[in-house]
Amino acid sequence: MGYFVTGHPKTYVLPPTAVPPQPPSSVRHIQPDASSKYVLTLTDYGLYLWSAQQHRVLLARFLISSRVLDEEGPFVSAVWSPDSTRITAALSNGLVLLFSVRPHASRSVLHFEMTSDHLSEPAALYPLQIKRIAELRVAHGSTLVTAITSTPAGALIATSSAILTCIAWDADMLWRAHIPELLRCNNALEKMGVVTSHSQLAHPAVQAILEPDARDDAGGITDMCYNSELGYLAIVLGSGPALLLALHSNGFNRPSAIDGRWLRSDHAVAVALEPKRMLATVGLTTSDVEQYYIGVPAGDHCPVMRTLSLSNWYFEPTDVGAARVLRWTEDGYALLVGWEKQGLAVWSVSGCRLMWTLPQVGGTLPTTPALLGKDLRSHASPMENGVLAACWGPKGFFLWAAPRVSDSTEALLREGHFMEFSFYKATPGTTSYHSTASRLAMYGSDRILMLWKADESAREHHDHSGKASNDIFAWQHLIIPSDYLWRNWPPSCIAVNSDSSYVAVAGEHGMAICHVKMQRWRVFGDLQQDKRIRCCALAWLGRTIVVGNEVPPARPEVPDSASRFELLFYARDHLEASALQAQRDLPSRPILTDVRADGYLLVICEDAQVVLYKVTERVDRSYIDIREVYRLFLPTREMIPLYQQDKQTKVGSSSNKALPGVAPPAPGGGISEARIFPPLSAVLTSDSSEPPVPKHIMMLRNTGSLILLDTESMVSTALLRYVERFWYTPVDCTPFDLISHRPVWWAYGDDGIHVCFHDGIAKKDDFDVDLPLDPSLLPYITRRKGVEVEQWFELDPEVYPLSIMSQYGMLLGATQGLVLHNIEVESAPVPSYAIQVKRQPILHTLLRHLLIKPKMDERTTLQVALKCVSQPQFIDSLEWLLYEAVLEHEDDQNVLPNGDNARFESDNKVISQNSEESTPPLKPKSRPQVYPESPRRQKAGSNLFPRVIRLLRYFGEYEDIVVRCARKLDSKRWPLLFSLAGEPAALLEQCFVSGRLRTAACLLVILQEMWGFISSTPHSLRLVEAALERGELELAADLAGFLGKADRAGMLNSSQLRTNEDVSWIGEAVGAPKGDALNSITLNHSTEKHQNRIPAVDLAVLNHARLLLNKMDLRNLAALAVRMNFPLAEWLRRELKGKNASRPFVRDFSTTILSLHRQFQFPEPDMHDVRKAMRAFNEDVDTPRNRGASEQDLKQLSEFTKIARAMKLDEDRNEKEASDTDEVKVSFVDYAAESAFGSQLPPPPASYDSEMLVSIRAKAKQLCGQELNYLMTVGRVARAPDIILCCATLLLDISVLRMVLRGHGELFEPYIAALHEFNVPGYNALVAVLNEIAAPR
Amino acid sequence: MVHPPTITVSAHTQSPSFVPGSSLRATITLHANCPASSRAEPSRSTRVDYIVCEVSGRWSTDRSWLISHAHSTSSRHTLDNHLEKPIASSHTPRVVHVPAQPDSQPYPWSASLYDANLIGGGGRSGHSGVIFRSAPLVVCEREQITSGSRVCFEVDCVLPEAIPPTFRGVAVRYAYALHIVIKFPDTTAPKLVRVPFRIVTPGGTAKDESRARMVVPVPTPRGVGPLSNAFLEEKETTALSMSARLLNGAPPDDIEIALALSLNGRLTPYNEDVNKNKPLTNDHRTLSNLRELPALPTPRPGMDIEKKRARRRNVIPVYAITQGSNSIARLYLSKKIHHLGDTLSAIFHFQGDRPCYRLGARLEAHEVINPDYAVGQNTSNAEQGVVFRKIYGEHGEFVMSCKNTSLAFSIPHDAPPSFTTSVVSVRWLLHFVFLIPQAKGRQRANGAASHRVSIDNDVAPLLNRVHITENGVTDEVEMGWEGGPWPGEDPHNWTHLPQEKVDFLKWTLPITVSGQPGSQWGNRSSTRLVHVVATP
Repeated sequence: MGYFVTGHPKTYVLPPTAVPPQPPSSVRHIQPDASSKYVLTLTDYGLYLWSAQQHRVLLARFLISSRVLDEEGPFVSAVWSPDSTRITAALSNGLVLLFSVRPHASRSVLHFEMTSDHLSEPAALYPLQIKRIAELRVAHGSTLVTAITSTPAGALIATSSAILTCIAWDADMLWRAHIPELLRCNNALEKMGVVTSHSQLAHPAVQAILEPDARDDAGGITDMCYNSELGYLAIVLGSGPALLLALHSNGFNRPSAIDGRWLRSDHAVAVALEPKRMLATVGLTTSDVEQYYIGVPAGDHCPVMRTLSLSNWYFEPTDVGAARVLRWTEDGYALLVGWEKQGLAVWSVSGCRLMWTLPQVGGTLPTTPALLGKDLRSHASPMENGVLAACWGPKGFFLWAAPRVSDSTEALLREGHFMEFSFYKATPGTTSYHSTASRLAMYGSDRILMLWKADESAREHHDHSGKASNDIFAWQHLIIPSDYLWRNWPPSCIAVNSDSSYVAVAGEHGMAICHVKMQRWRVFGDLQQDKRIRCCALAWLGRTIVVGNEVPPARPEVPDSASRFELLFYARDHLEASALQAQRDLPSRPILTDVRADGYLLVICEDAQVVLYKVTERVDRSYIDIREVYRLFLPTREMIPLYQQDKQTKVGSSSNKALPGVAPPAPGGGISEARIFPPLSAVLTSDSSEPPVPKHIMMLRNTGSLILLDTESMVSTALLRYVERFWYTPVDCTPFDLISHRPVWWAYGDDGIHVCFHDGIAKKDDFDVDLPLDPSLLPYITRRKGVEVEQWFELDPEVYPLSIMSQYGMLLGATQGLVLHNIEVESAPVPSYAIQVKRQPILHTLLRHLLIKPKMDERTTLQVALKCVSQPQFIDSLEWLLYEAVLEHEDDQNVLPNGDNARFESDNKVISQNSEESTPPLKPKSRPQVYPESPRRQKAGSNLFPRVIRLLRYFGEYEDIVVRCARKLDSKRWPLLFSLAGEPAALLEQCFVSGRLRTAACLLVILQEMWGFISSTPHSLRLVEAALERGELELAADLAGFLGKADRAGMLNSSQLRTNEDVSWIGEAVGAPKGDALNSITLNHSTEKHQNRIPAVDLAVLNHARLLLNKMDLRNLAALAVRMNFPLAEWLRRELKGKNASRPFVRDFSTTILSLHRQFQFPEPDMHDVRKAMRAFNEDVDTPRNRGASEQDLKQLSEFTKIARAMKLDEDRNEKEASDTDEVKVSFVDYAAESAFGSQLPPPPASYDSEMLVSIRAKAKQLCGQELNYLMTVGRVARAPDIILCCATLLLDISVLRMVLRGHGELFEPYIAALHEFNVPGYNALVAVLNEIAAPR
Repeated sequence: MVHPPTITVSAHTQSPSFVPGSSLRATITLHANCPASSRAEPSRSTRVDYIVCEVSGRWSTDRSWLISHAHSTSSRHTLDNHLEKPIASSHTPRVVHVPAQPDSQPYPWSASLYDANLIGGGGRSGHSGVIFRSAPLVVCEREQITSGSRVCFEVDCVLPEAIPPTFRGVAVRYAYALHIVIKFPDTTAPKLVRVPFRIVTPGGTAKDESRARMVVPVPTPRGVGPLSNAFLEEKETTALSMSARLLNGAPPDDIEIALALSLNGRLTPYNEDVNKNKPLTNDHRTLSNLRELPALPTPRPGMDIEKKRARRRNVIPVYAITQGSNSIARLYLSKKIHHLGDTLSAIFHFQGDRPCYRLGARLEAHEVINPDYAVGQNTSNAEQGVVFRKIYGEHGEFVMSCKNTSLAFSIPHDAPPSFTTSVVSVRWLLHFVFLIPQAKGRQRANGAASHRVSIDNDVAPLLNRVHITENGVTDEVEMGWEGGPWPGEDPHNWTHLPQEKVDFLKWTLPITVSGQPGSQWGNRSSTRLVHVVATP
């Protein structure tokens, strides 16, 4: 299941030793004991014992002297005895040492009775006493010890001469076996199904075993692994083969090759066994890892279930080396793979890469602000020189790995250091998955992580600031109180209630409940009561927490006494023995629980008993009412595997305590997840009628088959295979809140995600009507009566799906992310890991599913789509839907004839396989062509595409969707798309009419691509006009460029180019080589742009300018001039010169100024502003004034009259001179003006303004000032004093005002009168000032 | 069974938390549930008499910890809102009809709003009051709702700049809510819907602190309105004056009706290119275009200093922890200012001269009451005030064999950010305890009880001083420290802890927790009210 690494890996180093200096030696072996209390690390000359639980503290060590090291060689490996009291360690030259280990109960290493208020941890860690009790020799001469593994009987020691020795834990030698000999005798190899008869067919490695020569060692034993539940010993020989030997009776007898299994003949280097799913995992020299299913009958070939390969991530075998270290977690849900040269990775059962240390592009979360913009690749990745040893810590909370050191490693780290990665997991066996909430929670060694979703607005905010969209999810850490944890580590069960408001966690004893929002924990106040609870299952039932409790026997020393099990019901607010609400006895240990929201509690016990309770909480919570609905035994057909049936060997000694008469659970038979079926179909409300008693149980076997059990007829129906986890659809999730089309369950496994729907017609009760006809067909059957399974998503090899977050409507998955801290340590910064949440939208698949169904009412689909309108990804989903529909439609038309043939063939193959329910297919997953892939993704009929189009037409975004889809499609497919979506021209017209000019412009491009410019030009011209009218100048400019391109290509007809007015002067004015003042504003690139403009566009711009001037919309006029590159000054001059010459532009000063105030959102000046303007004016004229009043006056006057006269100068005066006078004014209208002129302005200032708004407003004011300045300059160049006057009034430029008013005395009277009309103090003051300095004489 | 027609009023704020000075936006949805009637029947409609909104903030104190009138409430500012002329919503040009009231309450919703703010006697005088209160806004009047359809209103209000964040402390509480008063024609009393929302403050800078400290409570502005301008009669958004508009986004349940009612014959409106037709609001996002303009090149003399500061801001804090001349560890924090909801991660590197046996760390938030307002504080202890601790995370680890380790705390989304008002302040801190072998100079001390006395005078000051070096700048910090015997040492058995005595070094690092910008998390604030219409 999901194992995710988080945080910064820790590094542990050995304490400095007083022993004479040895050459530094790295850790070559790490192994925890069976009880996971201790872990041993082995260097060349030292054996170190650490505490394995919450903390890593060195508890004991044993060092060999340098003399022994020289004579006997370094330590090779060591193993713990199953009871953790003995250690067998071997030195490379054949000496085996036996140690006894026992804790010093009398004293503790660390026992702090803290007087301070901190760190009050009551328990202690005890140091260990390690004593050498015996030594033996298993090899002589050049033979070296290569591997050790542990069995209940004793340690198995393998040598390079392929001899296996079993040394009992009391140092007796039990047996010896020579592996090649074992394989030769009794035709063992043939019985294992290996081809031996034809020498040319047999593999060289097999031949080498068959034909013994002088060096009869087959390369020696390089790796081995024993599992007592399976009763197999897995062996890898140096020449490459990997095989299983049967080693029954806990290793007391010699192994037998006859009912062993042959895995592969070459390239194997490492092997690991996984009993739950009956897998043998073999690491290869090619860096791949293969997983074999070993539950086949003896003599059969073990099929490869899946191959884990790095080739998808572009790693060459030479880069990473052989897959040398393989370790499964205790629960068999995650596999650790360590490569020889580089990297460490953790894979889920179905092949999802959960964690990796290999360098990779992407996946980095720039959450540390200090690192933004830095080179993110410059960090060190752990294990960059390969992995020497690695193992899982207790419960999979830790991963300890010892890297291979290189010369560049710092000196401190060369000596026996190892790293610790902390993991968080979401495992079904220990978590009650009765709600979606608990699927989105994980727990680690000291905390629980819960997924939080940001609010929509936050996401918009984040998008805006360019942050990663992943930031909308975050994990909230609930740190388990340390005093509870210290007593009861490790946490073993968690349960989250349905609305994620409470979390319960149980460790070894007792239980703690947390209110998530307040982060307030509640534990048993009385430690005695705490001790009495040994929780093995947890579940939330409304406000009640249900605890599956183990009551240890009163007198454990009596041999027959066994633990008793019970269910305890506590109210969440009272954790106290007296507040116990109810207690029910259970037949045996509860392993799985499930709760349905209407009060049904399902408990599955270890001995395959199932109990269903109906629990009713009273409203006043005074008591709860518990009624047992039924109790039954699960069918145990699969619980005794094949080899056990013929051998009758007792396997699984640990479960011997189970009740007599009940078959013990065997490998591959267990249940990893169970849920009440059917799930509730609606959110419970008080008045809704009681749903019927659930009659089915959905179960997921360890082997990955999903079955549905009818509890009345006791018939189980297989639904799907190779499933890793499954979940129900949350009832209140937006697209799924209509019952009719809600997927019943989702299953994640080897083939990605499958969903199951009720067929709309069938009733739920039809489930038990028929058995599947042929079980072998099951994985491939997609349609059965009443139920429909469909593959929705392929397996993403990096994202592990978690669940659907209700009210969100997206599938969430987790993947590893990296956080880099900017730490300037001596080495490169080591990344810290984070769990990154990835989203998978599901709406388009749901809609597709609904549309495919022939009988489905399209209105239903519409209803579903309508529900999701508010979702942010809605439009994208529709577009995706359309895209897929187009592609599939085309595929359908192309490949229909031979598609059927292929299907038929593959079906034949499948049917011919002899397989039972528990037998996987013989064909490996790595050859997907054998599988009929198509039924998983149900083929769309030919009517999908038209149905999609019909659906989309109901939405206002229809044209946008079509356009966006078309742009992503190859243009070859456009005819197909538009054949149903509607003619592009018609769509364009529709967009044009409804004012969606951008979409129309996009359609224009499509039209042009399809039919050429001839079709698009008329539309373009129309669009230019419309865009100008709507003030979308950018779009207009783009369209003008588009038309210009057409003109250059010579694609325009003369009729399209002809205009009824001569506008050639525009082009000339713009293209004038020596730019005047205004051309310096419009930068060079825009003149280029203009050169290609066709006259029709120019005319449109001109007409629009006329319109704006008529309305005195000067702001938009300025924007038009700058952004459309329109020679405003030139035009104004022409206007003045032309037929309307006598008419001034400004007819009414007061309305114009008022309108300008509105356009620019310039507030009227107050006294203060006018005073400031006056000051500025005075400073301007200050210098001359000092020289003497009369002289200055005269001079000033002459100066002003000169300027004023300059404005009235004859028309043929060169503009260059005019521009000389106002050179400064325009210079700071820069490039940005092109996009900024005419942009939206903030609201006018208010009394309370946020800082951001204030700054925006300041910027806007600055911008408006620029625009006004620009207009003023235009007015000067065009010699339009009335425009200058208006702009200068707003800018309060008194010197300009005086200049103009003096120059044009006729304007003074109306202007002053207009200012008076405002009747604001500022303008009154201005009038007074102007009367003084600018009144015409 | 025929269900009576119901009207569901649901209101939710745009996001669960807001920053002071930002615009609070909430959506009020009225949904009339149609009783299963046939299509042929003419669609019936139900009516709502009026909806009135008000935004307010309240403070309250615990009288066992704080003296009364800690925040001075001026009644002038809080009680007269209901007397003001309500602002009519922009989309309803109708004049508000004010029924004649005999007493001083001229509006029918005044009493409800009164109750909502607990002014009419619910709150204990002197221990609760109003931080601010907006003028009530009439969102709609006599609104007809067709059965099976929805009517949505959006309410806008710019919040004041200087208000403390939402805080639920032991002694002091600040809470904010949007109150909606709804009157149905068939009931006599109006119904009240309360939508709580959260205020988070950026915090962290002196400016923020001083601002919030000064202005509590915020008076309700009366005269402060739009700019007085004879010509510009434009609608303006002022703080605490609310505005509302009708949204037409929510289609009715029935697709047929939705299609019939829609303007373009489709279920969703056209996707307009530019939202030019949208009314200009105070929303910062619509002004993004303007905000992203390149700044004008204004030469500033202090440019270099700014740059330096910027560079310095990018360096994450590093603390070197030394005792005397012996370095113990280095601590790296991932950030300087932490946001709500962040994971606070600290990385330790132990490579010092002195080993560290054990590390303890705690993330705490302190609610510190200003001693001036605390009840029963004797003057000698007045410096500290009353402090309430809340622990947000604990970490303990044996680090004697560690080269590096890290710890991660999560700052909850709903924890208060760092802030200060005149009465209370919330401070965040990281508290560390290091367990190190006792220094040579102290080993002569025998037992915990006597070690304080017997320390050599020349060693003790050195030991008491713990140097914390932050990014190269050394600070000498007085660390609390204690020592004790190392229990159960057996010299004959090997352990790698040869020290007999240990010292506890304690160090408290204040941190800043900010509420902005990444802290808009959590559950959406929303409230529902179902009103069953009495059938005639």
